[in-house]
Amino acid sequence: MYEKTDSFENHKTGSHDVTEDYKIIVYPFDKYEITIKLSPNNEFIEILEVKVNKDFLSYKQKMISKGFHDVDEFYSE
Amino acid sequence: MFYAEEKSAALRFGDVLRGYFSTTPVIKEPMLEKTIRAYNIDVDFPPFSVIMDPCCEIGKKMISLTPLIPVRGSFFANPYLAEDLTRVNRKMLPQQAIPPHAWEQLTAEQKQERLAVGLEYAFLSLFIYEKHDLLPKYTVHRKEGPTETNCYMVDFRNIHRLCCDKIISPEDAPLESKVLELSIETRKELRDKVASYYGRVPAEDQVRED
Repeated sequence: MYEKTDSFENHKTGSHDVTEDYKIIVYPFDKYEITIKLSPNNEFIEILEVKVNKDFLSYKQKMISKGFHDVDEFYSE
Repeated sequence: MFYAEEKSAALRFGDVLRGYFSTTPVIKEPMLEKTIRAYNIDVDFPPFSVIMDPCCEIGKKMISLTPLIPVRGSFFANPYLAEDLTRVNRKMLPQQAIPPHAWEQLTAEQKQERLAVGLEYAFLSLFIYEKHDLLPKYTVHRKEGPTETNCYMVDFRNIHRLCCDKIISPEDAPLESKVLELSIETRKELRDKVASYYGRVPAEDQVRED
């Protein structure tokens, strides 16, 4: 029996992972999602990805953009 | 005027016909392997069907139909619709599309969000056929009690293809099967609503269009 340590947690048998010395966060900006790599001290390293946030529409905007009245919930048989 | 006073000597979009089968294939899951699994083809013989082809597309021994079906009993819970069920066919205001008791239960924010939609269609896939002496009355069973009507409706999701040797063109077709023809105004309403049903842009695609 072995005592569990961080080392065993991070380096499982068969794992070739390199211990991460950075973290990745997704930062919402306007209608985009920007994926950023930060150091453990929250220092900026690089931008990994910029993509459109498909949920950037507010509920109100979604209702308007539907172009019809979604009313089925009020007409159950 | 919902129906044409005189039927033209041709099959037209929206016509009510009799004498045609309705079929629906039913499978449990897509058959992606070579083995054919159990499936059903439900065959109905509805009293009436409606032509869903544009007038110029009717022919070549083929036609698109959808059965005329009973209206939803829940429509009668909304006095605005109960007064004239064909209002389902046209654009309406948000507070008209929802039964009053349900509208009153919405929060101020929910009401505001719905009001922002403005004049639009509700029940996008449905189109009501107004009462007519040639359409038999039937009873709609509701919690509040039975209601008698001879209004019917079509659901665009029920459209199916039927092949018939006698349907050569709109004019060269079994016109004896034609029961009712829509007026020009009503046919436009049907055309507009079908177009809206297929023409709406999903929210995901609207994002990409920006």
